[in-house]
Amino acid sequence: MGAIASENNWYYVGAAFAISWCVIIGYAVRVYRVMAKARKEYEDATASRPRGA
Amino acid sequence: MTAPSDLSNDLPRPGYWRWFGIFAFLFLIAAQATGLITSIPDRDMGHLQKIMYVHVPSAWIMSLTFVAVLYYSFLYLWKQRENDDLKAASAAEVGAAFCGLTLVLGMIWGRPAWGVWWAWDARLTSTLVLFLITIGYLALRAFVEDPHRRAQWSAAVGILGAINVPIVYMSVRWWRTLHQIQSNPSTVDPWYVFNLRTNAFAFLFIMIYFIRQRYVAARYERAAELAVQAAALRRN
Repeated sequence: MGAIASENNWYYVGAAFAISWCVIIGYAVRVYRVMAKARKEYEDATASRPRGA
Repeated sequence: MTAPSDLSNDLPRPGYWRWFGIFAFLFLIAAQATGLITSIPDRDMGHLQKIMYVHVPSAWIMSLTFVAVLYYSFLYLWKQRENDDLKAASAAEVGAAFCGLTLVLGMIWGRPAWGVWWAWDARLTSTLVLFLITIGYLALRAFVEDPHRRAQWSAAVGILGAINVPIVYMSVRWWRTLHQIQSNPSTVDPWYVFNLRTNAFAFLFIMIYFIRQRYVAARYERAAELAVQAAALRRN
């Protein structure tokens, strides 16, 4: 085993995978919220449109 | 000038994309679990090598998002279609997330491997510059209200950011850097290569899903904006 191979490396590996999932899940939640808000705004805006307009 | 009225017509529906999203997440879980469980420790780096399965795919995917930004920015400047601007913006936002992730994962790798969290070497610095350009791109879009001007300016910044991608890639060859040069699959254990490629595909599927969903959200945002404007005009 080389100089930097150590059991402590699992902490770094764990942190790297955990952060990756935080970013991916975090972005998925962000996109979901943006989508839900945009759809609601669109539906509200089009629902208030008078007939024939 | 763009004809924005076509945006509210034919708004995209989730359709099969929902299933694609579920598939992408399940594939990512399977790829990461396989990499973590089955990959044997490296002779020099031990288990630290496993960070390669998230850091490298994240960097590759980041580069791909900027290729998409470049393509749709040029397309917007050429055809002046607002949908191309929205696609470029969606790719840029996903690119910013992956660029930030790449930087953080690189720091986590760097601390045990190099003894420092950060070094001002060419690869790290050029990636940071790319990240800052992308943040600038997103800030620009938030501050400019006129859609045509916003699209034109952000296309210019997007192209500038994408030009930085080959510099990031070649930086380890052009300059003497702490960051290692690109590995050759023939010099790496085949199982490492398999896990790396599997995780790269998983990140690719996630990227495609995110860009598509963000684009759909952007279409709805714009359609709502237009509907509100139309309602205000009718009232006047």
